Amino acid sequence: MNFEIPGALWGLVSVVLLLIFSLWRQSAAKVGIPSVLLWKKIPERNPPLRALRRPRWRLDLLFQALAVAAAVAALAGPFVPSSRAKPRKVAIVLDTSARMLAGGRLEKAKDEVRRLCEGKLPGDEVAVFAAAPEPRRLGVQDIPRIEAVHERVDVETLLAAARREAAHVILVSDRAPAGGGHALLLGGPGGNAGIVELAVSDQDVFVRGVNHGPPRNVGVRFKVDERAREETFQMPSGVWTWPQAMDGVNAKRVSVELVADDPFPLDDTAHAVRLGPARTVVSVAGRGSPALVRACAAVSGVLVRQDGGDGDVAVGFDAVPNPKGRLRVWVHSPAKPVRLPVEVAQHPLTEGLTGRGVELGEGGVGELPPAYREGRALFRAGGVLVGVHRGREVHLSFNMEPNEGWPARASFPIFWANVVDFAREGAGGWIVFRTGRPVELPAESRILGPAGEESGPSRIFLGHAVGEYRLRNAGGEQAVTTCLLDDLESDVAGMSKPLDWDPGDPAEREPLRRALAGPFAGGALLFILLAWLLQRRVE
Amino acid sequence: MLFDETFLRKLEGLRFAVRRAILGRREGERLTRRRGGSAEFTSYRAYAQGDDFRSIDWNLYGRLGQLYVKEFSREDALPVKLLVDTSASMAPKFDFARRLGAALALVAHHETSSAPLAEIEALRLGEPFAVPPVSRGLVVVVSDLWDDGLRQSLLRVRAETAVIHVLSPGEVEPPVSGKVRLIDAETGEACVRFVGDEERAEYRRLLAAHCAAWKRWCFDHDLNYLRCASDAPLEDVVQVYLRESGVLE
Repeated sequence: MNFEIPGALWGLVSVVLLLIFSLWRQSAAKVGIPSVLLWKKIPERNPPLRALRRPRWRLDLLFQALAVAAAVAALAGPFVPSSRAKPRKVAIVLDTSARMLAGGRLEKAKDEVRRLCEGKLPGDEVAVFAAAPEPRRLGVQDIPRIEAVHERVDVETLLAAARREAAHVILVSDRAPAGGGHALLLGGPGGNAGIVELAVSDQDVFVRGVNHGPPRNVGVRFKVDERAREETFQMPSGVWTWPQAMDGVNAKRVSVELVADDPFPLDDTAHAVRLGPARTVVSVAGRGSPALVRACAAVSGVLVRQDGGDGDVAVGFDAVPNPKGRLRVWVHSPAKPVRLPVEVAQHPLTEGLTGRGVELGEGGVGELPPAYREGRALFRAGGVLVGVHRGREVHLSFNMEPNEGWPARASFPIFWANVVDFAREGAGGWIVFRTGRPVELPAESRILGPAGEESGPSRIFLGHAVGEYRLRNAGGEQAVTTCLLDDLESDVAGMSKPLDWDPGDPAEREPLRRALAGPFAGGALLFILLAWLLQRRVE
Repeated sequence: MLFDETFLRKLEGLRFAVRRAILGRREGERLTRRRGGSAEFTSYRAYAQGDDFRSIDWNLYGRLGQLYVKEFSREDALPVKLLVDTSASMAPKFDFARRLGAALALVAHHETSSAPLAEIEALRLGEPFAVPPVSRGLVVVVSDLWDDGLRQSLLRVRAETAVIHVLSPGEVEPPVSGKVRLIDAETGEACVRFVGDEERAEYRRLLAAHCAAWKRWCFDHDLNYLRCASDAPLEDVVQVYLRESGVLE
């Protein structure tokens, strides 16, 4: 017999204390006799010291000592090792990212998990965690029903949920877990090429893609409504762009398709649809800034006017913005710009900029004029305000010098895209639907899924699968297509590595323990009861 | 079955030894002071009016010229009253006392058909015990004599009385030691004592004095006293001790 907490056995010292205490108080034993007539005539005297030293064993004292000993033993967690192994709690996290479809790796992963469960984890409590699209816990019997989602899965969230539930976590993916742990990695095929960004305006189309293979000639099918064109271009390794001019004033749909012979077709196509008119007008007043115009114009559905007239967004570059703008943005050129890291506050206008504080300050910033410092801080640098938002107004104090200042930084177009999104209500103009990214729809819109299922009226559309949907609202019904467009998912080449843990190894299995704490506790109660009954009987 | 056949046969040969003349109501084998018609002459006395003419000794009248009547003793049955102490203090020796009482009842049965054997068998420990004021016959009291009030009861008994003092081995040599709370079986009275060798010796001395006091008291009041241990063989007690002490013959 072993003990889980052997240190608790020190509690047996209390048995010795019990005996010492019992000897110390040593109450008179009760004895029934026919008559005390003679005993009353014998004078009472104190017992000699030697009698105190001599323990008088009583049955009730023995039961009390046994009760204490049994209770202490129960607290120490006694157990008997068994020849059978203790069931382990094992969680298997299955990466169902879109790229796992390349090379049929998801099916291989499911086979591996099945083999693992049947061969090396029999008798264990196995849970499977997967995303479809939200993280969820599944049973082993659900493995055949697991499918890939057409977006990137955050396996860290799944791993965190799995670690909360199980002692052993196995990740089945093609990327090693960031936090370490057991992993079975199934590397994908290399050399994938795909489209990761599509921007459309009435005048041009901008396509950005990646090529993880060597330079090669790739065909491109470009389609504007029913007008199709196909060409071949030399696709370099790494990031490539494919800008095209087009006459899209009356067009409603644009699609670009790569004719690339690779195992991952989900990222080979990109689509854009026009949702109603381009309703957002950005009006720029004051000093001219081609970079500002380009950044705003790059946001789909935006019309930029540089005459300072009426607009949904009114921008004033060292000038007063048009007062009719729903959102008025003052850009104040700092007198003495300084290069300091910028603290970025959480705000819809700063979405995507929280990690870019250093870059924001590299272009030079300055303190806002005293009259414009009130409101909610957006940016701070060196303890002073360089950007605030109050009501319909935004005030910025950034260096707008085109080559060295803020316009030369990547954070610049991000911020102006945020400004447009913040100012307008609902999507309009050319929209690209991407899996896993919500799109704000015009009012009273309904979406019909690929299988014909219809959602209720909603302002938000969030598609998780690449495919054709139909959008129905007051403007009529039109087809929309969701695309993958994800840099990370287009890189399907992952690592391959066998599982770095052999769950079938007997050394990995803890023998099953037959706990004896219950019987010991029951024994303690029994001895207490017996001691109590014995004392009652004597009384 | 209290006794075996051998013991029963031995009981048949026993009878109570009575020192005084008895006054029985029924005729039996015992000679009594009551004058009766048995063949055993006892004495002469002067004739008194009303005496039976048949009892006048005419030969003596012829020699002395005065009327004397002859007196003969009467053979009566011996009334035996067996009293077995049923108080709580008798617990360790009650079985012995009851068997002893039963044996004496069988002895009495041989002299009179009305021996109280059934009463003895019906006794239960814990029942109230008292000595009634018996005026004739023989009274045999079997008790542990821990009740001092028993003396007063015995003084009211005018019949011949035998007191059998029964003590259990535990009373003779108490099996206690160390600090003990002694509880009186009858009164519930508690007495806390440390019992060591000195106390045990003192107890033995007091017990001997207690028994001697009873023996002396019985002698002074013309009672037959016998002390016996409850672990002694009943056959020995009946055939040896009781005979030697003059209770049986």
